[in-house]
Amino acid sequence: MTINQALRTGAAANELRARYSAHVTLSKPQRYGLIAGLVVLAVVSVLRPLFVLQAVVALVTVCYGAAIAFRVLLVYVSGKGEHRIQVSDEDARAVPDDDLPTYTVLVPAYREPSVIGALMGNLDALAYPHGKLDIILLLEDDDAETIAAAEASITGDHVRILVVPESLPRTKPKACNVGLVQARGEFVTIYDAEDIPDPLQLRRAVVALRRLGHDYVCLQAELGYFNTDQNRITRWFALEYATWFRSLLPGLVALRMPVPLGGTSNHFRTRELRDLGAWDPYNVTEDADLGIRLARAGFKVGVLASVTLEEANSDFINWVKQRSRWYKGYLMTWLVHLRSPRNTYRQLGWRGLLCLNLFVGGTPLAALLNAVLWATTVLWFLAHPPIMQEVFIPPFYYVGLFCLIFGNATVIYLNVLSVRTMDRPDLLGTALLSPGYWAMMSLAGAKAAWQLVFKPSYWEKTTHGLHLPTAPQPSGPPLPEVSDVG
Amino acid sequence: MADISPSSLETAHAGMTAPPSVTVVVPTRNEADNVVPLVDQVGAAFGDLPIEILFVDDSDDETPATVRAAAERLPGRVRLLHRPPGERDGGLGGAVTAGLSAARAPWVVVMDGDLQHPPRTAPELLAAGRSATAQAVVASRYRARGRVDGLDGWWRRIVSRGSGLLAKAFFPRRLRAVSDPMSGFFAVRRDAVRPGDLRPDGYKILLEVLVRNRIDRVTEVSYTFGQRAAGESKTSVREGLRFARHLTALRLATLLRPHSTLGRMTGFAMAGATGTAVNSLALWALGGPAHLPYLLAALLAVQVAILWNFAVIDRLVMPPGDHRFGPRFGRFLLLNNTLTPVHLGLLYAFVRWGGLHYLGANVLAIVLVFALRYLVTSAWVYGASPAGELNRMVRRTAQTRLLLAVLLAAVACPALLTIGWGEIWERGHAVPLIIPVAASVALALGRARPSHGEPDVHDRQVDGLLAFGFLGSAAALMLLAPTPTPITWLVPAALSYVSAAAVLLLGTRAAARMRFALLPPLLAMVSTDATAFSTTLRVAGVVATVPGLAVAGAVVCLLIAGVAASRVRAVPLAVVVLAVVTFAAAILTYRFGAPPILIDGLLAVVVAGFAARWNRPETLPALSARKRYLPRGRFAFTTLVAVAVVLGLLAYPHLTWHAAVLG
Repeated sequence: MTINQALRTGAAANELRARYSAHVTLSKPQRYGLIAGLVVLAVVSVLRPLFVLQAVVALVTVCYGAAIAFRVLLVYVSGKGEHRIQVSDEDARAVPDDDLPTYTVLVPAYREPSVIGALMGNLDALAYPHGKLDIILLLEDDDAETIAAAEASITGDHVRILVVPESLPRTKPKACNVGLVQARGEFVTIYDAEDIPDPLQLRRAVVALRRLGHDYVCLQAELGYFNTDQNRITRWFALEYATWFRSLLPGLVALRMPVPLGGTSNHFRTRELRDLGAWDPYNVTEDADLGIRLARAGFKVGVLASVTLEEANSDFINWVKQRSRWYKGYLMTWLVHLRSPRNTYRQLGWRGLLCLNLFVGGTPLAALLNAVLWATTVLWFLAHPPIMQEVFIPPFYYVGLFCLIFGNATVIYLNVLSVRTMDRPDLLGTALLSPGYWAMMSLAGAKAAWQLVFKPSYWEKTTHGLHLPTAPQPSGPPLPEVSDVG
Repeated sequence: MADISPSSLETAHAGMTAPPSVTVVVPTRNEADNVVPLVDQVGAAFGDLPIEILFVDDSDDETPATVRAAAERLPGRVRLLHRPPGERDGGLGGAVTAGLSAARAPWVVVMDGDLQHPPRTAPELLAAGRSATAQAVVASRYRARGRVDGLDGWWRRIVSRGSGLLAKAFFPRRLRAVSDPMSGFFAVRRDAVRPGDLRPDGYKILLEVLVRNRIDRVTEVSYTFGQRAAGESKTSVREGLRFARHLTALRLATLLRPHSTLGRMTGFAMAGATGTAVNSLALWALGGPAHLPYLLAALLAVQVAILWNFAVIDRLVMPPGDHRFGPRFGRFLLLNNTLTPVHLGLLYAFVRWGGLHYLGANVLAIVLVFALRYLVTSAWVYGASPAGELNRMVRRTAQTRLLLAVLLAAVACPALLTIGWGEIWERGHAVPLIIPVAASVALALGRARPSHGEPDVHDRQVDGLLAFGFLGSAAALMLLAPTPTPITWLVPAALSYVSAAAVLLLGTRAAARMRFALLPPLLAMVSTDATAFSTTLRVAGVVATVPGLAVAGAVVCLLIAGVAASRVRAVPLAVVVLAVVTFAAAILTYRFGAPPILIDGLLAVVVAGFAARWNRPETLPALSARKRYLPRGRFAFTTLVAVAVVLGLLAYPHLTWHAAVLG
């Protein structure tokens, strides 16, 4: 290969990656399309305002109804048969140590000196020979406290610290990419600093990936919470996770649709992950994006029945910050993969496209629209403004009414189902109170939309350790302010 | 690609040395031979203590070079501040002042460079200052143990002793504990000295420091004046004459900005007296030659007098305090303009209800307003802003902002205000609001401060979004309310607005902390018929009417306050107190014909008292250095004012104002 050729292929690879990166939120055609659409909308709404309102309401109602129907479908198919990959304890332990591959564990952490000690304990508990483990702590170079804490608590040669050189964007996926370059393992996984993984999880993943064959490049382990009972928010959160990992994701697997990965405990084949270009450092939910890209490359993703316990966000504002980041990332992912719809359709098929629109784009949009629709409903009962009778024209009005009555009841019912699958009857009250959780989601959705427009790549850091009884003050310099309101 | 070598992690702390705990300031002039022995002796005297010796040198010989050599030998321990010819303001005193400014340690020892001040005494000064928690320690030649050996000749001894006595005669109180105010050898706490205030004039600086910086806690250590080792003496008759002049200037300076309350009040009264003269003069000038209408002239004359008073008080009477000039002036202006109506109101009250003659009433009003003016001026205009106590400041800011929120709500919902004001004395429409609002205020103030377990996680975007929702609801309620007469719709609208304001001004977390304060006013929506459930009591021949609904509302308010503070068990006792107060008030109204509103007022006081007691802010441990979160107020304030004005204008055309009829 000549130098020129190499340069060209390098440039081509860069270009290809940039095409599916959230480095820019909207590609050029998307931006022009959006502007043209808005102009047309503005012109028509001046000429025929009522028509525009009716059309918007109709569109919103239909999409909303479709998203709810899709959720019900997912729960329904996930209930028919087992779609999670089960590896029994005996099978997991049966693999002799010598047969185990080297396993790289990436642990990105930023400003979390207080949890590093516990992290070492949790990683030591993994039932995997130290000689085959390659744990890489990914720390940022301006975070001397965490680096010092990590250096003090390192337990053996299998753990190393990798200080990520300072470069923008400073995000978790960028740190993971840096770590992946250094990874020695045949498989690689990610844990967050506060995670408590199932000790047998790595062995289960090895067994499962070997059993499933080379089509399967990634396994998503189930996530749960160790502080479910801290307060109402954590209980809601736990219920939601139960729905997500036990019903919705298996449902996607059952329907052979792409699976948006969760933030941690996803187990990859290292080589394929590298070939795929790893994580998009500009996407704030790089995991969901990676899930879609895996599907586009023709790989399969399984859900592994093995739980990693995380810290549920117990604080309202902290929760909104975290959730808005996720929603923003989902919206980004959605926009990124709609850049060339024809390619997407060719690679994902109609199922994938449906999932992309109703699940990846639909989740945050539904959360955002919820607030608007509830406000409309309240307004109607409060004042009966006559304009609303004209805006909600008959067929769509009935769809909306159906969503209001059946949709809400159904979503609450899905939560009640999760109470059943979790086998936690005491959470029934929490499930029935879920409309309060939706209000929080709406707030997060609004914040996500706002940020998507004004600060797309800003990574909203979630504060950890709020479950500790003494509530330690997050030390270190204060985090950069998000932005002023307005 | 990535750098994993740990070498890059080593942060360089090596270049830093420990900060000194003592600075020894040595003014020198042409005494190169003394430098090295002085450095050695001082170093030996202090031993291991981290010190810095700061030579402030006015020499023209090789002294600076000698000091530099010593500084190279002992880096960090010896510093040189050379004052070239032309920059030697204040002579010896100026040199010491420069040294005090440049000192880095919490304690500063000042000593001459000629070794007549024995360096071994320096640590004694320090020890005495620390044990007696003094601000300054003087090394005295005249104490029992100290002796004057070094002053050669009886004339100089007399001059020295005499000037000391003269100084003590000038400042008998401040120099009470000082036997040697002419000493050039002393130690002083760095934070007690404001070098900028000093006007050094050649002679010994100690007197200047003690008098101008108003150092009260002085102690003494005796020592023996040593033999002059080298260099030329600087005490002369000419210096003595300058001293007398200096002393007079000092005495005059202390008359300005007196330290004692009495002195300040005198200054205040004198300023007020001259202000009256200025006022009359200005009134004559504006009303006479300028031909302005006399009321306008009077208004302007008052402003001129306030200006004059401020100039006098700010320059001559009060110490500057912690506020800058602009805010001081603004507060002074505001205060004095507010006090004029207060004065007139008092006058009216004394004459109308007190039955006093208007001249006597005026004297009384003047005295009262003077006292008020003095207290508020010294506390608010010239007071110390609690810079160290960030937390208290934040809390005060929070309370101010909360008050702002309520005021803005009043602007946003003028209908509520007019309904509330109209017929208030006859228990009109807004009477159900009295008790809940009192309870709410007590609750909100009690919970303005964060508890120490509260996570310090905030988000301005969430604040903005939530406030947007609340403002939208407030606007919707305001616009949808059928007519402004019943307060049913207006109360939730006002509450929604207050919530938005609290979220914007204080942050979501603070607003959530105070959420219970929103509940009591909602009670007012239940019924606007104030006379419902009225009970007529007949006890021992006394017939009285008790507004049962008000009592029930008060009990619910107590319950809410108790739940907010998790003190539900204390509620029954409070209810008993409430019942007793109600009964007493009912009898009072019947017997003495007090206005019917009295019962509601008393109930409100009781409820607010219990709410405040239960929801007392917890005492916080030592303050952390982290700044407590307060959202940026300017944007919030602008938004709220704009919305308030718009909403107010929308409701305003529907209103008719009923003046409250005084009982």
